[in-house]
Amino acid sequence: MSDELERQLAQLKPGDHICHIYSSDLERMAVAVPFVRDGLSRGDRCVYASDDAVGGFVEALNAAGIEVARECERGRLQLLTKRDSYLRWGSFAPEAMMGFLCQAEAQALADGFSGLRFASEMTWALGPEPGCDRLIEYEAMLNRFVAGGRSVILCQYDHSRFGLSYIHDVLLTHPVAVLGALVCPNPYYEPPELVLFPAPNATAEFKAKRVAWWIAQLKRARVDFQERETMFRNLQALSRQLIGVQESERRHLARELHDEIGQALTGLRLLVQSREDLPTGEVKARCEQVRGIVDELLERIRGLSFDLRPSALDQLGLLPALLTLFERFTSQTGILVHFKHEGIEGRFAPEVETTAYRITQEALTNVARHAGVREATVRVWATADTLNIQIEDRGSGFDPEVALAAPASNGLAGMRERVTLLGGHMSIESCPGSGTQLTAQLPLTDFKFD
Amino acid sequence: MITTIVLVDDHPVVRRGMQALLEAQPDFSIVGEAGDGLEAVRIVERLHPDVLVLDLMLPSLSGLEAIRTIRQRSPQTRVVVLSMHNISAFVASALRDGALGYVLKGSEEENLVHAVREALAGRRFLSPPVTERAVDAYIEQSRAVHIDLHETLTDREREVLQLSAEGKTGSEVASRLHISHRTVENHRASLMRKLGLKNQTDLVRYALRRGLISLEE
Repeated sequence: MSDELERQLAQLKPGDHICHIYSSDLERMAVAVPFVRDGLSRGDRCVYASDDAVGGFVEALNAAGIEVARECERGRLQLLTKRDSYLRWGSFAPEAMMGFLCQAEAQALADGFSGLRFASEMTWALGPEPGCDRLIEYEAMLNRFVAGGRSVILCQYDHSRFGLSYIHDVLLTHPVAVLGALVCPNPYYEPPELVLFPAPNATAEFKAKRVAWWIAQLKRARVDFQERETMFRNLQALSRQLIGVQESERRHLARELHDEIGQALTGLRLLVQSREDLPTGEVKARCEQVRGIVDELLERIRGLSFDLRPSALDQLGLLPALLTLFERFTSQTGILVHFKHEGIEGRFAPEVETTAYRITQEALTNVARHAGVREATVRVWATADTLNIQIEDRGSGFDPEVALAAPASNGLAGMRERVTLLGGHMSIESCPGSGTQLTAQLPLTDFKFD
Repeated sequence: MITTIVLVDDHPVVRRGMQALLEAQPDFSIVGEAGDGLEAVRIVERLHPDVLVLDLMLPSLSGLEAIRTIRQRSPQTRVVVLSMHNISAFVASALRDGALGYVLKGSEEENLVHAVREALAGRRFLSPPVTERAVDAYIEQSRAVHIDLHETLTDREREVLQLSAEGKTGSEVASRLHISHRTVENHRASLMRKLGLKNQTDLVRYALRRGLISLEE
């Protein structure tokens, strides 16, 4: 569990401003220590400001294998108390503290560090010093400070000491919150211009702005929720469909193996059963028959293997696999494929190659089944960042809306799903009587599965 | 003169069959065998046989990669492919990578012997039904041509492009073409994506360059 927390903390980036709401020293260290360790390993200068003595924190760092004395000596780590940081001026002034942080960030960069990590224990703000009541104002201003800079800031609040409304305001001012073992984007966060005290004469406008923001948030939450629900339902439908497809493929394969290949083998077995009384001429004739059956079996197995997964796609790449597909398609259906391609001689990511191949295959199958034409055009071209596939016929056409809504009868919905999974785009232009054009665009860069 | 041969196939049954077939020739001698691509490269490097007979589908290193490596490290060795696939893509790739013979598994036995003899003489041999013509047609087809992106547009998209470039608004285009405003927007998005255009300025610039509109009007 703490490994998971460390993994999440390691995702923090410069510009992040995080609050950690904790209830025990153990919890405080569980976040502060990995925060510092991760910063050290990234080459950030790490500064920790604690309320009073730094002893407890030093112990925890040492226990985690960080050589505190050495790191401090090399300037990689600085340990401060509230009197060296927030309250160094005897009182608290957000503007002065902002200057302090600007200076610290600039100094860290000047000293060759990649950025600044500033973590603090915030209990000092409950002290009697003047200006401490401006804490939330300071936290709001910090969001402007971190934006676009090289700092990561972590503020730790002990919720047994701070009151409820205080904690609420803390949540308003931190875009990211660590709660228990979770690093969460904070839905309570509001941008600084809404939280910072407005000029007295702008009160009505300020109020309207803030209410508008809340309403916008609610609307967005509702849209997000609906989108998620739709996505979930689509995924469920897709899973069901995938299971169906898998079973029907297995059924086909089982039938092919049993009815075709199994039967042929049984026939072979009968033919080669040794019978001593057979005349030589008959033996010869049987050998011929055996050969014929074996040739037929070989052809069937080649076809089956090609349909399952063409080896040309893995061994040679997209272009050779497509050319092979067209050759086979034409010989099976009599439909001529006019093929034009540009920039696809090389290899692409396997997912991209497979998707491009299957889309072309599926689209041609539809042409053969529904279009009623003797020829089709396929264009495949690659640009610097996309692979484009277009299959076009001048056949009978259909209503794409209707076809997409009936996913069982044609592969359109499945094709679109495949393209979407890769972050691509697919469009179908067709209407009854005027042919069909299917275009898919697959991204070649920024392709990630996670 | 004895012809030395190395056999490579990952199936021992196939190797045994090939061996029996080739050793029936008094002047052929099988000097080595291998079951995968890497082993094939090592054996050929060591023995430098006159002829290598190998399958294309091999574990560890594919047959095609093995051929490329072997042609460099043992240039005097002639290569004959014995393959399950009557697929022009494989034939063309094998020939391009330096094979002289391509024999289909399951074709007449004489073909393999013949392919080995032809390879020894430095001549190409393809076992029927593989033909030179099919290979040439494949190579011709695999040549890239320039694709004019304009031809990837549908008739409707061309109309929308023309009217948009002339400065018509979405609603004007919609009423002119008797389609809905939303359909116009879809066509516009689709044609911009196909042509790689980002905005209206790109669209107008494209139309000007293609002569769809001119500055005089």
